[in-house]
Amino acid sequence: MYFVEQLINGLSQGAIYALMAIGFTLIAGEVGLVSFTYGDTVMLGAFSAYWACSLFAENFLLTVLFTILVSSLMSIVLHAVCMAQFLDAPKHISMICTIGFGIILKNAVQLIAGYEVKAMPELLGRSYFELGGIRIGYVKLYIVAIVIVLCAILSFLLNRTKTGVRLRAVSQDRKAASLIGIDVQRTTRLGNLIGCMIGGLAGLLYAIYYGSILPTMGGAISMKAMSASVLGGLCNIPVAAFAGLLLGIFENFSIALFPQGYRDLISFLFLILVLVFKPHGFEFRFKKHSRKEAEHA
Amino acid sequence: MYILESRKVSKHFGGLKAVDQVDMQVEKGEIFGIIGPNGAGKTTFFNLCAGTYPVTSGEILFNGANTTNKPPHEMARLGLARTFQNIKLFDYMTVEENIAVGFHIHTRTNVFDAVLHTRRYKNDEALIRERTAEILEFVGLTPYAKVKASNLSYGIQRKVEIARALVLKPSLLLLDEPAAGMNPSETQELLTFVRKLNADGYTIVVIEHDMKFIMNLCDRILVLNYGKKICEGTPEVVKNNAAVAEAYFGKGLAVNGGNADA
Amino acid sequence: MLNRAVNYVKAHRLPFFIVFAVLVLAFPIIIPSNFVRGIAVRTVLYMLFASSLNLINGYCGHFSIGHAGFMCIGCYTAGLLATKAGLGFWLIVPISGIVTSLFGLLVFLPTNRLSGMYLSIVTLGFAEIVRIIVLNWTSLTNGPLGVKGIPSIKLFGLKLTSTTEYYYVILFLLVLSLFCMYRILHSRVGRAWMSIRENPDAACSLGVELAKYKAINFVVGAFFCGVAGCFMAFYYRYIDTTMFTIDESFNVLSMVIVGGMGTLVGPILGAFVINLITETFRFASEYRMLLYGILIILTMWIRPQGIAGASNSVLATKRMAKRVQSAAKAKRSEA
Repeated sequence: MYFVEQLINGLSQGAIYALMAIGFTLIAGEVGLVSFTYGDTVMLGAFSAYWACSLFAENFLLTVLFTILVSSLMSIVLHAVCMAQFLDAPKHISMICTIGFGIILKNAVQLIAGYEVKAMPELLGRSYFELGGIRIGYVKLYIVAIVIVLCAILSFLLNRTKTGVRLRAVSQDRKAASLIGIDVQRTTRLGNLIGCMIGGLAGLLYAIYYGSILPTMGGAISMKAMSASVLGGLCNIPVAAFAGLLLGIFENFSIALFPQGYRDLISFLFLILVLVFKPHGFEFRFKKHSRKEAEHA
Repeated sequence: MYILESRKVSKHFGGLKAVDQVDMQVEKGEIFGIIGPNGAGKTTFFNLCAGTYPVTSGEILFNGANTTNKPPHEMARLGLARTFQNIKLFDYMTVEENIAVGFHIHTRTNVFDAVLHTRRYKNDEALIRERTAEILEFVGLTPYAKVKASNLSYGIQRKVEIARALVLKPSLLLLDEPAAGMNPSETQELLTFVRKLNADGYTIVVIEHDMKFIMNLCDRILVLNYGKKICEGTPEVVKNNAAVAEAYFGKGLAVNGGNADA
Repeated sequence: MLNRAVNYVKAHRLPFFIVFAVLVLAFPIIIPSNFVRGIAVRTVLYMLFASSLNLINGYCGHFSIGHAGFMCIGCYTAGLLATKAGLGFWLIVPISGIVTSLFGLLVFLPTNRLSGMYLSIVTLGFAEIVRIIVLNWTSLTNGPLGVKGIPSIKLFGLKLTSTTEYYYVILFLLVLSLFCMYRILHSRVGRAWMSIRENPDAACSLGVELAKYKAINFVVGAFFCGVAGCFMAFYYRYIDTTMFTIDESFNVLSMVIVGGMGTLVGPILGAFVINLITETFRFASEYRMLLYGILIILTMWIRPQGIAGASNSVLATKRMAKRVQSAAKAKRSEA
């Protein structure tokens, strides 16, 4: 029964990680840049949810909307500052910019909200059901359900709409996309927007699941999102989501195996192991910049 | 023993057969050409011989020894030098520094030698200084010695790349489209230069699209199309080969064996 | 305008250097405040850390963002050897360097086949792994309590106690390290590294063994970081893992980038500028980090190659992107 409990915990935590991985991968694939500010995006989402709770008297829908609003605004600023100019420049320039941006975000939140841990109200209720002697909060199931719905919406957007086609085109070959008339700036801004919105919502769910938030939580989150995303070669969304799920489950089961402090180690080890054996992750899609072989066929 | 030989060498990229069962023998001391339409697999074939790509099947022999799948830096040590289709110079290093890298396999200074300026370091640096001046003289690039490679004109860059390859003291030189982007007089200069190198003892294999260049320069020619060998022989043989004409001009015009002039 | 200032300095290198050297050497004598001297010691220490990172990031095409991992190893090796084995500072310096360079080799091994972004992420992962292990391996490292009671440096039997004395020690280490780096960079090894950075395919075809020289690059960079870490342990007399977080990695990285990656003088300037700013704004300590973040972003916008970087280097190509984009926009509007 302990196994089932951990499995369910793992699934909910994994669902949140999966969501984060999806957002991260979307941005990395779309804009072509690894964003070191992603953890802080999630953190901002968590804090906007926290503030929304006091503003809107714990109304779930309004909290969600507020989180989406804040994340969207942030993403537009992020794009203008760190990405718009540097799409064709050496990658590390925008990477440094995102690092700077992340520092600004983190410290801005710290200035506004203070340095202590904040307790998040239980937006999704406290009810639970019993199964074989253990209590399972409905919250965990709601989280999984919300993530599934979001994935479905995203999948529909990417695969069945014109906008989705544009997004996918730009992520596969930016030059070719611009040659056929796609506005690359607008599309990368949109991709970044969606990715950050997803990140913000992941932050919201994270806050609900863990119940407490800190301005400095971004760092570990960045690493986890990155680890999961790397498995998909930084461009494959379903694989990244799956990896996030696995990571969550694995982390929960490892409580039994490893001492408390080493838990965060799991995601980093996972990351390095993946990269040692599969330097480009499991790419199921030909990515222009990562194969030099077919260059001179 | 041939200086370079390929036996049924193939390279597949997934479903694409870039190079398909190619046999080739290059005699020591000759100038050997490889031609074919765009996408025929010429550069891929070069890359297989030089070790840049691993083969899917087949064997490469260099001076009689099996060198299939040996990495490029080992091939360099064995005496195989190559240039690239799109010139690969070290852009932000000067011409002198570019050429100095070519001496890597002839010197042995390590970190400790560098820090302590041991005798080995001093000897290596003296060797490099002398020989660099010599080679710059030989190719006529002495005035450009301290210029950053990215600031050079295209023709000069090509020369620097070849000079850099020569410094390896190779027995075999692979030139990938050396005349690309050159006007007729530069091409003529290059022709004379390559002939001079050959007279000095270098065996040369060259990929080119410029037919005049190839026909006037090479002792023997290999023709590739869609990764397969379709003809091998002297320029005369290749000129009159129907399959070659068809590859370049299509079926319709192959009336008198085609005219191989560009 | 900044460009002109930088070019002026570059053209008049020698006089600037002499003035600079005199100021640096006479600094503790000129400035009587012990507080300022302390800042100076810290700044010079960061100059050494930044230089060691610059060696890895600027000359061989790597982009390591996990330098705090090496710093942690260097520091803890020194701290533990000093407190548990009672060894003296000057003996530990090379040992610290060697142990850290072994870790450099360890970090390199999985990154050999990786490029760019992946390599960077792995270096960050490694730094965190090191930190977490050190934090939790309580029997060896004292865990979150850190290593305390590290003795002071002894020179010819005399204990060094004043900040001024420590200043000259770290200055000596810095100059010695820079000297070694200069010699390495202007030798076959340095040229091999730069050839890998500029064009790995061509380097390989010329006989440069890519894996070997990339490994040597990590090892040498880590060595100097270990040396610096050793000093850090003996200066602060107390170390714990909170000094080696991801933020610290980014801190050193930004010094390298702002100062100019790929030049020897860049990290020196970068460490100076960043420490100057963070110290000057210490009174506004809450806003300090905000300013720091803004500084980094501004540098990328205005001068991405850093203060000392060459304007025509590959790092300055942000402007090229801008020109291409405006040309594309113009084309679209007339189409």
